[in-house]
Amino acid sequence: MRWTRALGFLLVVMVGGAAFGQANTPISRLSVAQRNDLKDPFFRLVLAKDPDVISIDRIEDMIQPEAGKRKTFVVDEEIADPAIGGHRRTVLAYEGTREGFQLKPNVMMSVSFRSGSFDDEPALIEAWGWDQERGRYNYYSLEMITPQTRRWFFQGSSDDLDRPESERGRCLSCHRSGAPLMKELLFPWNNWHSLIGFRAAYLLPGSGSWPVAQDPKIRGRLEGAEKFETDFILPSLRRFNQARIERDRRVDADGKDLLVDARRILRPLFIPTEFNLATARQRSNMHPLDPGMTGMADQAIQPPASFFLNHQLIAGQTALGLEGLGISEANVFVSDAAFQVTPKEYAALVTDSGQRLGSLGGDTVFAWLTPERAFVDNHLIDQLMHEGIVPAPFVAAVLAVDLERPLFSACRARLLRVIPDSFRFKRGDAGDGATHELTQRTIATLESLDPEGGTAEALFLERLRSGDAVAALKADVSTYSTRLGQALGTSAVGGKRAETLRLMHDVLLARRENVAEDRDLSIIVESPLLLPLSPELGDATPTLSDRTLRCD
Amino acid sequence: MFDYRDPTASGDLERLGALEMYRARLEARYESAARTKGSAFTWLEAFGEADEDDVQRQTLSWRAIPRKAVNEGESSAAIDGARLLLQDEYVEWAVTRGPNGSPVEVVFTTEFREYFEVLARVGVEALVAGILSLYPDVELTVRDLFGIDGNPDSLAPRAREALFLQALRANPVNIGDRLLCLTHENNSLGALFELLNTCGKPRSGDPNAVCSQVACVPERNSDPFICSATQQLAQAGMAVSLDDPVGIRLLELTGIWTFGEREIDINDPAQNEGVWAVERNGRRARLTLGDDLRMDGRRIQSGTQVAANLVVGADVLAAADSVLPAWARMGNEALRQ
Repeated sequence: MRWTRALGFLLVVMVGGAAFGQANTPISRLSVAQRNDLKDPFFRLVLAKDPDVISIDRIEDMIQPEAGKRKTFVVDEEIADPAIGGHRRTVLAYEGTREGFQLKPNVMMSVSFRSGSFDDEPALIEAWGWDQERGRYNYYSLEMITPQTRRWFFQGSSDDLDRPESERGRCLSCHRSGAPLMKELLFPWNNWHSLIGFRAAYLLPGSGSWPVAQDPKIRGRLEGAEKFETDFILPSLRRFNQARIERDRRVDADGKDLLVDARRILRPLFIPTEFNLATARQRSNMHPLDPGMTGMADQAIQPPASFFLNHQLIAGQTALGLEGLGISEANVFVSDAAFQVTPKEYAALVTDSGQRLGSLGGDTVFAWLTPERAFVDNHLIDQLMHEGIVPAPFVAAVLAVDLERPLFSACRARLLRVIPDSFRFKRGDAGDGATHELTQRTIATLESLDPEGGTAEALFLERLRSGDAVAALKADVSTYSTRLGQALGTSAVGGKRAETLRLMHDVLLARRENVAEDRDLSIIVESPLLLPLSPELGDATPTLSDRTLRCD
Repeated sequence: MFDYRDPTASGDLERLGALEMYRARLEARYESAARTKGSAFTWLEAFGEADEDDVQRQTLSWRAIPRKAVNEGESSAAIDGARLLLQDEYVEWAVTRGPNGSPVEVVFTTEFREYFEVLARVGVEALVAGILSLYPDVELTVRDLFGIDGNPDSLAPRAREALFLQALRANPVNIGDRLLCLTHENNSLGALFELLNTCGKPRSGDPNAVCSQVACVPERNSDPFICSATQQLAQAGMAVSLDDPVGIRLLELTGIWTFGEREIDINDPAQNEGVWAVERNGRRARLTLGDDLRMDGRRIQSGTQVAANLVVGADVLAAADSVLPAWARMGNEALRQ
């Protein structure tokens, strides 16, 4: 859930919710029918019993009285700064069972604390719970009305994504997929406390630790991001996607499986709903708030594969439960030493580009921070493939368009319009894709457009007709990695490697800039310290592609 | 010597007369690591002399799926099938498949081979009894266990142990769908101690960089995680040790598990109807697969798929070096003669 730093007065504007009477609605004003409709554990265990509760201790007693089953996770863009006086955001999560509810990963709260203390009655709490019966997330917030008064609000549910943006609950402006967010989802979880990524020693008992480290909401229950990822977020996102698919699956009059609202559910294949942030596994040693900063990494930087292409979908990622397209050639970007950047090269790229983290020069804790396609988007597409709803060659044909631009591709985005609104499929068997209704109807639409050569539509059509779009994409990936690898390799002539590295870094900066300027995605850029940017980056759009694809 | 406990909590080591030998073996590991100059790794007893409030108990955890094999493009079926080559995260598993080829059971283990080595040292009878604790109905020959036809008990204990180890990769209770103990060459108790020891030497700079500078494989899940966490503790002036009982625990299965439409806590024996049975003090577990069981909405097709959701870990103790008794502090390694 997006965190708002405002700790002062909050003017609560009652907007939306008039028709359904729910989004941004005080809990106390919900009708009996509306309250009965909220079946998530946070509402049932807490707000249904005491809508005026504001003490975290009291709320936690209601959710999980066993202290050993309460977990605390900490994230902040200033996580590297051990100076007393700071504050941090935290997610409180629970294990075990309560009144028939599985608590993990179905109920969580987000709240902040200061270095000196953990306020039991904070100005703002955001909370969410999974409603298994409805297959949706419900969001809530405790807001300050006056210094003496706080009130719980229902902030809408993931079902609100069906409603016009102006009528959605506030939380969905950040939770754009409808599910919980963990931007730095994977190792080394830049900005999160972790035992094996960045260990915020000042939150652990010992000399130099913050006073709050002794607070029972921290001490003995502080866990690393590794646990939040594996135990809470990944399962949440996978289950959420299954529910999304289930909701749009029908059986038609002939008894055949039908996917309705297909353009909406397939949208993440073409246009990102959210983004994640990946980094190299190596520290930059250039974070301006890190007392251990030396100005140069200790070892070669390995940019993540997702910087180069949509690695999760193209290669698959067994560890994340993603089958993907199984194109292992995409692993070359992280297995070939040519793609590594030496500490000296990296320091020069950061310095010469004028890169800044907020108002300070420098880099993130872990190097090469790149926005990447969100797991929640990729998993949805992977699940659609797994269930035979969307054939793998269809996905491969889409990913061939702007292969080198995994995140922001106007060419790929415009292809969404040629997707049918609904289509039939055979559950669990997409066949080779050629006879699949989605493929056939998309081909028919593209043919009716009679696209000119060199356009995104023409490439998409060619691949769909090819009969083996996965093999064609595999060849594309090999060509791409070979070309880039040669430009970076030891046989690179003259200043070719340096030039290519500069281009890669410019692409990296541009991609961050794209996020920061994107109307939808920028909402979850909560701090100027999240994305290192460069004011010196020009208007030109750098690209790793050597092909010109028209999409105007 | 510290009274190290039987890691399986089965009582087998004591019952079979192997506990003292096992303790001696562990003691040698601790001694070797703790005497290494400049390492934050220290004796376990030292934490018993520190104030309880100063001692942190941490579990260093990682996922059981072999990251290196996955990144090298190995399929789930290949990883399942090449246990001794590819399952290198201090966890190994064996899959039993039904007549139609679908998996019906996956057994995981984190038991170090050193456990059975000491049983072999004690004698044939002890080793067989230890194995029967896992496979009560199995019938084994001397050739199965030691690769010879003579009487192993007439050999020196060290020779008997060596023969057992030599035959372990062909031992019928340790191949196919049977699983005795960790057998991949990197999955050894010695490797775990060495990892904490070498990664416990504090260096300046990026803790994540240390793995590539010592006997540690950066491409794995386990090694860099253990190494980085240990180095972070060392850099913070903390001493570390492996907690007793030493070993790797199967911590939990993550993900959403369902029987049909019903969501269950797979780790809760009261809810899981016995399909996930953790045994031997968290060193061994058995997942029984039925038609209705789903993990994150998907039917289970391989052990590797489950390993992706299986979290394992090693328990360590950590405390500021300065709060430990002088004999255990860094720089004083030679004091305890």
